[in-house]
Amino acid sequence: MGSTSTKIKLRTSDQKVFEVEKAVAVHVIHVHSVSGDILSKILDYCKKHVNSAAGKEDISPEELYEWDANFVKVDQNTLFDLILAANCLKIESLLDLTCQTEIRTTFNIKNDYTIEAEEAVRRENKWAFDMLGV
Amino acid sequence: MEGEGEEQTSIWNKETVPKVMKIVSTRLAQRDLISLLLLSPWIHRTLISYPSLWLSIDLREMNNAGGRLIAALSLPRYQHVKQISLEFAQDIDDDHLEVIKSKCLGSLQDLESLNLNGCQKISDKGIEAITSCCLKLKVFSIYWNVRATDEGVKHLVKNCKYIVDLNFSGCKHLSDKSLQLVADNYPELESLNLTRCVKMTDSGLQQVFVKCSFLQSLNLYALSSFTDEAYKKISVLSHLKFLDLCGAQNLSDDGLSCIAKCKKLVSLNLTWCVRVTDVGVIAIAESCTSLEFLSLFGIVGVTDKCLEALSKSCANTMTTLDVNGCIGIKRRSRDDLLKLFPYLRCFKVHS
Repeated sequence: MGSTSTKIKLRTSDQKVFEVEKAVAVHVIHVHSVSGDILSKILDYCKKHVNSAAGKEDISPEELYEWDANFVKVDQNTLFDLILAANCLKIESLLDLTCQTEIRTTFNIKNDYTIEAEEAVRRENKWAFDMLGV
Repeated sequence: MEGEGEEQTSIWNKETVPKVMKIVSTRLAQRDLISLLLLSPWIHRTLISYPSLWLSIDLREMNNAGGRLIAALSLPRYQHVKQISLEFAQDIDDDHLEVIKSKCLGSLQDLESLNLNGCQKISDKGIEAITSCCLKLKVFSIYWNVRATDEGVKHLVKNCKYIVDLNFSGCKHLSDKSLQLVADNYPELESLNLTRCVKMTDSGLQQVFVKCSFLQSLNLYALSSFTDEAYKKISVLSHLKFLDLCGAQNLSDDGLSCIAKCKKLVSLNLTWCVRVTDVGVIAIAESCTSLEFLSLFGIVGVTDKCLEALSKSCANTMTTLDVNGCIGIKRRSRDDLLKLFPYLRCFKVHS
């Protein structure tokens, strides 16, 4: 029964155990400071992005942005928890996403980028962001 | 009432937020600053309109650095970039620099500082390409590049006439020829790092001393083949503040006594200068009264006498003193040293 993907077990602060593929859980340290709910959301995020990058899921960049936008439509507490966990687990792209959302909320900034415009700005500034990890 | 609310929102968005963002953004690292661009078109427009935010490109330790640099330089907001750091960046080579020369010529016209430390794939060809784009360059650093030769330095001096700070540390193939080129072209040079440039000799070094009289910082770390012939000539550098002679095994008391004429010395590293005795150090003590940093690590020929002399003149300024391995000094415990130099904070320089 050969499996092509290695699995990793993660145990959270509230003793829940998750089993995930190694590619998804790039950084396995410090999970004990993250709760089960938050880790679950984070794993969703990582799975989505890894799968889309690897071509396993057929999703356009625009659809991915929409997915991200919905992903961060959560209450302030959850958002803070996501920021802390993303920081702890060093998931740069999720940290960017959640921090931008938080800044927009704090400063009451309306994100009136069209999807195309936002994609263009993202593309032209891609060079500034670490491409390692998710 | 509704109209008022809308107007408030508009003022908030178009005036207040941008003002705050401008303040906040000056305190952000590059990555975070660029993240702000993604918040909203208004923020984007506002931040882009502040040229002072976009004077630096930081690609330290990043992979695909060549591609990233080209992408960054093709953005209009970096047209006046003043500082680029590629320190320990990977995947940047001569070809990338050639591309930049042919495509991004305009963007580098204001560049003042270029850090290529650890970019080991870059050779003379790349140095020629990049320096031909930044004629206003003042600071050039290419630490640990073993491909660079005197040819590369030839291109540098031909293109960049305003260099004041040069770091050739670890560029082991540079010879006296490079020193001649530097001496002939940079009379205003302030800082020079020649760590481990083992091909260089007294003759090349002397050229620099004679012609670069404004030198404030000179690093000759791990260069053991120079002799007093060159060391004595350091005395003409009246502005010298920082001098690293770690490993100068040929330096004698005579040589050090000449160096003592550089009265403005603040930092002096004499680690492993094994020929030095009290005579040389006392000469330094009597002349360099602003000394803050001194290492005598490994020198067995110095005794408590030199510490007393140093204490007489530099007790108020000395904050770092390394006398580890100075077996000739009997009273060198932490407490002993603090008695002589009450402001000492650091007792170890060399490991």
